[in-house]
Amino acid sequence: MDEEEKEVLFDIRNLKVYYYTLDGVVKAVDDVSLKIYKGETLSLVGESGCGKSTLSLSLCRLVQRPGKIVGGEILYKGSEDILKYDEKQIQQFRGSKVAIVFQDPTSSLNPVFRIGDQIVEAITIHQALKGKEAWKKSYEALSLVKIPSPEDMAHSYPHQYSAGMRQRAMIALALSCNPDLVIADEPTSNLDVTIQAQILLLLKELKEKLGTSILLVTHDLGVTAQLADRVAVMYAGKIVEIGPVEDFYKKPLHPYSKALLGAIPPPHKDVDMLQEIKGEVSSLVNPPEGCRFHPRCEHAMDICTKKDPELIDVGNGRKVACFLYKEGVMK
Amino acid sequence: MIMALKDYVVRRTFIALPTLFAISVIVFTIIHAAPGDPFQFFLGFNPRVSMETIEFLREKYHLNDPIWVQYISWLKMLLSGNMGYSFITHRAVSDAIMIRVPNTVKLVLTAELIAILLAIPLGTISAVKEGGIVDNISRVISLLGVSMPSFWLGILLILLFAVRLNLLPTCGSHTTGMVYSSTWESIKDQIYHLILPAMTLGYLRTAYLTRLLRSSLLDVLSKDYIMTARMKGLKERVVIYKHALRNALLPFVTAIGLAFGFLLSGAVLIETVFAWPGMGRLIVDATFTRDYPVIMGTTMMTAVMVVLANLITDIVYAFLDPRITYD
Ligand SMILES: Nc1ncnc2c1ncn2[C@@H]1O[C@H](COP(=O)(O)OP(=O)(O)OP(=O)(O)O)[C@@H](O)[C@H]1O
Ligand SMILES: [Mg+2]
Repeated sequence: MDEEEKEVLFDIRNLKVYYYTLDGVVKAVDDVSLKIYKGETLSLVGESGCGKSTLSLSLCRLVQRPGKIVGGEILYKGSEDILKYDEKQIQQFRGSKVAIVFQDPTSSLNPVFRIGDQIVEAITIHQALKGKEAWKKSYEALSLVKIPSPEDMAHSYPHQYSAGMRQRAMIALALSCNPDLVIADEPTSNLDVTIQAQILLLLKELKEKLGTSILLVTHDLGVTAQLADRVAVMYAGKIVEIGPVEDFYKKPLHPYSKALLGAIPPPHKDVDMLQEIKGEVSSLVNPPEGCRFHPRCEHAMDICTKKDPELIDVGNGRKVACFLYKEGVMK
Repeated sequence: MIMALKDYVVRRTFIALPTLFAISVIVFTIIHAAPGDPFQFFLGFNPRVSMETIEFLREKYHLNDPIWVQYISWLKMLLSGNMGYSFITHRAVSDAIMIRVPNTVKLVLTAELIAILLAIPLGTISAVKEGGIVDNISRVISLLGVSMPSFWLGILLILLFAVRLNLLPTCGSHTTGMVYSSTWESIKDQIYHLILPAMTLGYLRTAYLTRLLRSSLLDVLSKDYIMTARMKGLKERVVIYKHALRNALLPFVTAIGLAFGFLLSGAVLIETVFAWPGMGRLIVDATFTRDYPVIMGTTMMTAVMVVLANLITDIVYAFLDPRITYD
């Protein structure tokens, strides 16, 4: 995990994404800086509503009204800022550079078109392939995700697929144009446990086979442990800790990360572990002053209630946004 | 596919038969239970017609028989292909209907066509640019359309286009007694007569269909597969007109088909206001004069048309939605 040697695919700098609602401005992503490297699997974890999906959608500029990207830049391969792309450029970028696998495979495929049509549609706009060749490519994509007899299945409609198969088809669609990054936004949370394991295994294999970067958004620290190279922990619109996965599990730095890991229920007990942490999730409309986690933090100090901690480098490719480390209280 | 479709149509037709039977029993019972009979209404106001004459006529037309006897003889006649004869005009009911049906179909289909052609762009733009100018204008138009009684709108249009501007004729389906120099002249005359009633009925339908399409499109636009379509890099135009509209049209098609009955009843008022020689007026006139055979004939004809419309709707729906099969 030597940062300097790896090629940076995405460099997100001071990204701000707000939702303008009647209740006020929801600062779903508030000044987030993050790098995604080529070939890595980065897991984005955090409680429900902390802005994980919003952050992922921003990478395709797919945040919908009333949401808006209000600041920052997203540099693709070190040079181009995708936030400055015009409509045509961003359409060429979507699907071919970044693709997203959504959470619910029952609703992420269009029910009135055949699976093959939906894949072929992506292939024809991004690659110089048409007709038979494009269909052949779609069969390849389906067989890559281990859909049996892809020639037949391509001509079936989503409702003729099981939920697990649909998620495979969705992954095939995402991979069909060889993107640099696949975002999997809780790809298994709507599936049965056995199917979940199969999909995770598939993602693992694909990652090794294709070398595609994966941004894995999840609630499930078990999934993270299995798949990720690095972990980014998000809390109330901010990244509070980021670093290699082994270090994170061995010694989480941020008090919130510790709480997360401490709250892991015994295996196979079907509890949402992130709900176990005491206190209310901080509001994104009127976040608490200072560190957003301080009302729930056991170690909160005076400064935590006043100043917003920045992400600081603590070595070994790890970063944490917490005054305990800045002030040297903890190491 | 074709075989499945054929089977489906046959099956649906058989399913429809009990419905039609039930409708005929109910309507037959109701109209005979209603006070008055054709001869009382027709002749009762005339002091020179004696009670005896009326009684004689009632006997002659079997109106004094028990109602189920009357029903069975009506049904027998119908099954032998005869809809009976009008008590008033003595013309065959089937003839009267055959003259009127094309007029009603012409009116209703034109109105629905106007509505569909207006509602698709209006509803789409209203949903895509929610809260925009088109959305707001179409909201006002729709609200007026939904809350305004159709006959009142009809009268307003007559006042404006016929009386004030003297542009269009006010009644009938063509100019009576006119000799046309060419087929085109005749068609033109008929179109002129069709405009106002079709616009009146079409406006009400536009109001409804626009709102329906708008809300179903808004619903579809929030679906994940729309996000998937955008994520693939499709142009927004393709996302809306291919991925979203195709799904949003499903409830729209159902509404068009199921509304056929509503349209026919709406046509009754419109036909009355514009003196349009359609089924609607035939029904109204027959009801006032208690012309039983005509009421039965027109009601059954209407029921068959509604059943047919529903069947076509279901076939089109199954064609549009792969999740539905003809089983
Ligand atoms: N369309 C929207 N309108 C208003 N607020 C929104 C909208 N979408 C998201 N938000 C708000 O933005 C915040 C972040 O939402 P987001 O969906 O990114 O969270 P998340 O971390 O993905 O949550 P989850 O784990 O439940 O998927 C939430 O507080 C949410 O209420
Ligand atoms: Mg989410």
